[in-house]
This record gives sequence, structure tokens and C-alpha cells, in this order.
Amino acid sequence: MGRLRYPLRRIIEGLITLFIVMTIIFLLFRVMPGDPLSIVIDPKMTPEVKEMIRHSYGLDQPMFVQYGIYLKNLFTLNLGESFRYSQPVSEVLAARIPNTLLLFTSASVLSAVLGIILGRIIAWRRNSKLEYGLTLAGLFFYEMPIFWFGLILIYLFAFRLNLFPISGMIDFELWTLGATTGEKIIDILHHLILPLITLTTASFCGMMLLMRTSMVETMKEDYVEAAKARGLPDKVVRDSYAARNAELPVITAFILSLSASIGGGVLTEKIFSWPGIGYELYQATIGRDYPLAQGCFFILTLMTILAVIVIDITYAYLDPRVSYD
Amino acid sequence: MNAKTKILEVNGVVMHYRLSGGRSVRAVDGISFSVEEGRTTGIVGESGCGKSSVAGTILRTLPDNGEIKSGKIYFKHGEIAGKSGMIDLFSLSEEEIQKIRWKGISMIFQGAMNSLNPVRRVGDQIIEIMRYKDKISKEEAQKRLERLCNIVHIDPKRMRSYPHQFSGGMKQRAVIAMALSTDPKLIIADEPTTALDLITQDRIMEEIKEIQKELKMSMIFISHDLSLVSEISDRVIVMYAGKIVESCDKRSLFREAVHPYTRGLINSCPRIRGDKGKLSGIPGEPPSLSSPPKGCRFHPRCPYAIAICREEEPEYKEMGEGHFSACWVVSDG
Repeated sequence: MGRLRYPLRRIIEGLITLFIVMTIIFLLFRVMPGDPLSIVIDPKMTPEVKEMIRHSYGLDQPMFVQYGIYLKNLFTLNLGESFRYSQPVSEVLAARIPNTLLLFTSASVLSAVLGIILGRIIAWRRNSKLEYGLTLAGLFFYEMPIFWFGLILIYLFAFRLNLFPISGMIDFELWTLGATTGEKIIDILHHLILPLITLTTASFCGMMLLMRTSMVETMKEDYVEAAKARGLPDKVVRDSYAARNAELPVITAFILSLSASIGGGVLTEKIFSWPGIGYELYQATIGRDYPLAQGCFFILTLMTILAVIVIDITYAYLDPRVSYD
Repeated sequence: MNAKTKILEVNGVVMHYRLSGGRSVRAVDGISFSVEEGRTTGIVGESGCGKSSVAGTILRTLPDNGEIKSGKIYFKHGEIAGKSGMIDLFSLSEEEIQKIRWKGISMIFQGAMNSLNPVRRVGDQIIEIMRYKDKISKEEAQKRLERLCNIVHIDPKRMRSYPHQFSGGMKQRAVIAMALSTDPKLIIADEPTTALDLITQDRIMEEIKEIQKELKMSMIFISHDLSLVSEISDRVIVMYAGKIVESCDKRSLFREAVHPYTRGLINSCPRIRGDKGKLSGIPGEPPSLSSPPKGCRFHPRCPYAIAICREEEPEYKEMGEGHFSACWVVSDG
């Protein structure tokens, strides 16, 4: 029972957090200016028709009644129907989530792997040219605006050199002309490369810098010095003494970035017209599609809360000093 | 065993720490001493007098700004890099000294609390070093680990624990076990009991003495505590501000020590037997090693200082059999 008490407590805490966040989101959308039905209602309609439409969307109800319905629906995992698509929100999201995951999860994993490997190497070669060079480059690419870098890549490699498609995830022409599965996969990968490079560059630099800082701190620890003095091979000291301890904060950052990856990136997806959650969230917010935007935020919040719980539980395995009994 | 066989000979070693702005700290400034096989040489001195730097210089585990300026260290080791007999440690490459580390010379670190990797089991860390250094199988290493546990009085089952699950005394025992694990020829114990409470300190000292007797270990024992050093050592070396001011046999230390600094250290130790005497400290602070005083480095704190002490460094001279001291006042009679 002792082992289960902690996860159970965390799940209850997570549910409370979810409830608070969803309440704030509900209120936020209601205080936003503008009429959500403006895209459905034609000004030429008679007041009766307008009222009918408003009633069918439930928007004629007092705010607290709307809130009650909203909570009840969330509790039963009914995310409502999108105003714009006239389709259940869950279906809209289900169609977008795989696209976003494909792009962002691969970027997260790639960034973490590259970041940990390079960060460990440059920290270990303290004060070398390699360290200075990569740290400087890392700072530059980490701090640059991601949309700017994305646009430059599009301009150079898609527009000028014509190596990659400018936007989107698939070539409609190719797909409608009955391409084989292999051709379809290659087509998606071809579209994936530029946005993947854009995303990975920025976040991998963050990971590398974090790993470097953490590693430099760990290298000052007595146990690293002691391991060196014992005459263990350099690689063993670096990997199983210094890096093994330095990785802990980087793994936190990685799991958080994985959870955030389901939300995609509004900017990156917009620039590359990648049909993912970020792009949809942008459209839904602009178009005041309450249920869809709420649905997006619901998924985002849920994933973040889950990630934090996963981080806590993973830590107990990675760091024996952490115990939840 | 021939007590006269030297296992380690340190000869006029100078080691500086480079600081920014071209300055440097002369942490080890012309140190010479030797360790005989099966014997223990103790080094005593205040914090910051360079005693741990001596250890770092021998094993070459100095920080990046530590620079060995001159001197030689000879160590008796089996054949290495085509050399044998007394090997000049400074002439070895990093790769070759790597082979001396833990096979020839091992170390019990200052602050054992933090010298174990927190995310790995204690036993695994000891087994790891045995397997790297002696190329033995897991089973063989496990057997040896159990023997080590008996020597340092740890229940072998506890070796599956992580360092944070150990008490301070147990961590210290584990670190001692680690230093013994590869059967080194010489052990350097750098303040091995400083972080422990007095009761535990006493127990660990007893255990070290037992190991010393049973395994006939050669050892360098470093501490700021004169009574600990004299308890365990055959020879005692007193360091002050990067230099050796006096060295003599343990037996003659309390009676025959002549250097005013050594006398000061002795007078600041409470005694149980013999005349009670007055406890007195040494006034003042040790000097900065980046700009040590001219002449004898102890003169600003020395109650007997005369004119020449301020001008010229005293010579390190033999006062009696095996008893050396560097002081103008006593050497002039």
C-alpha cells in the first residue's frame, strides 16, 4: 500500500489542478470580446432565427449554467462539438494529434539525445575550442526566434534551392493519384524535414546548454574527483559518475517537452502549415470556436499534469535518494 | 622484513597553484621525505599548509591549475612502461600513472561523505574498481568484497545499499574498503576521520591500526590533529606553510621536538598522563601562500624569533639520529 499511496495522492492533486485550469480557461473565453456565432450567423437573418441558433449552441443560457454543463461534459470526457466544423471536438483533435506527435515527439527525442551527448562532451572538455564554439552557437540558436529561423530555412531550402516542399504535410496531388504506401511515407518525411530541423535546432541547443551546466556542476563533486583518482577509465568517470548524475535535471526538461509536444507549436505549425494541434488552436482562438479551443487546452493541461507525475515517479528510479514512502 | 626498504621517496618537490594575474600559491615548497615499507609516515599541519596538496602531487590528481615545478618522486612498483625498481613518477605519462593509481597507491579521501557516487550501490562501486584494476570475474570480486567487509566491519548485505543509506562511519569504512580493494602497496589517508564524531573517529582509528598491523600496510597518514598522527605513525612530519619544519620518530616526538611550531602544536594538545602543563595555542594566523613572509615562514608567529629569522630561510638540518628540523634558534643552540 505504501508504494501506491504516493501515485494515488499525485493523481488526486492532478485532478484538482485540472479542474482549476479548466475553470480559468472557461472564464477566459467568456471575457474575450466578440461573438462566437459571428461566423455562423448571417446579419441578414431574422432575430428569431438568430435566437434559435444561439439556443442550439447553448449560448443563451446564463453563464453558470453553461459552466455546469461544461464541467459535466468534461467529467464524462465529452468535449462538445466544434462551432466551425460542426463535428465532435474529439474527432477534430483525433485527426490532428498524430500529425503533431509525429513532428514534435521526434523533435523532442532527437533534441534530448543530441543535447545529452554533446552537452556531456563539451562539459568534459572544459575550456576547449569545441566547448567555446558549441556554447556560443548553442546560445545563438537557442535565443533566436523560432519563426525567423523557420522562415529562413523555407526561403533557402524550399524557395531558392527547391529541395523541400514549402508547406503542408502531404502532397495532395500525389496522394489522390494513388501513391503506394512507400511513396506516401517518403512524401511525409520529405515534408517533415524542414519543420523538424527548425524545432530540433532550438530545443536541442537548450538541452545541450542545460546538460553542460549541470555536468560542469557535477564535475566539481568529490565523487567525480575520487573516481578519477582511482584511475578508472576516463569514459567511465565521465559517463557513469559525472553524466549519470548530471542527467537528472535534463530528463525533467525532456519529459516536460514531450508532454508539451502534443500541443505542438503554434508558430512552427503556422509557418509550415503543419496540420496539427497548434495550428488548430490558433484557428480556434481566432474564430472563437469555444469548444475546440477548450478541447485543445484540456488535452494540453492533461498532458502537462501527467508529465509532472511521470517525472516524479521516474525520479524515484533514477535517483535512489528520492523516496516516496 | 627489512625496515629500511623505502617504498616512496619524495625529493625536493615544488608544486604551485597558478592564479589569475600571473600570481601563484606555493602550496608545496621543496618537500622531501620517504615512506618505508610496512611503516606509516604521518603528515601534520594546519589547514592550508599544503598537506593534501602533497597527496595530490604524488597521485597526480591535482586540479588543472596545479603545476609541478621541480623535484622527483620515486615509487617502488613492479615493472611499468619498461621500468622497474624505484620509478620516477613524474616521468610517467598520464596513461602510465593511471596504472599506478589504486594498484600501486590508493587513497582514503578527505570527506568520504561525498566521495561515493550517490546514484550507485556502494558494493557495485567497489566491485567496479576491482574489476577494472585486477581484471577479475564478478564472482571473484564479490568474494573479495565479502572479505573486505569483514576487515572493515560492515555487514556484507549492506553493500547493496546506496551511499545515502549509510551512516557517516559506514561511508568512511566503505571508502577504506575501497582503498584496500585492489591490494595497493601504499595507502594515502587524507584526514580520514575528520568529518566524524569523536566516538566513531576513535573506532575507525582502531580499525585502521588493526588493518595496518594485519596487512603490514605502508601508509601516509595526513591530519591536522597531532595526537591522531602520532598515535598511528612511525615517523611524524610537521608541515608549515608549504614546507617541512620538523620530522622525527614518533617515539621521540613529544620529548625531543625542538621547532617552536611543533612545540606549539604539542602544547595545544591536552594530555591525560604526565604533567598537566598549561594548554596554549599558537597566536596569529598561518601566512598567505601567495606571498609568504621572507626568511623563516613561521617568524611572525614565533615567540623566539631573532633577527636572522626575518631575513634568511633556515636550513633543514639533522638534529639527532633521524631527527630533522629547520630553525635558526635551535640550530644555533
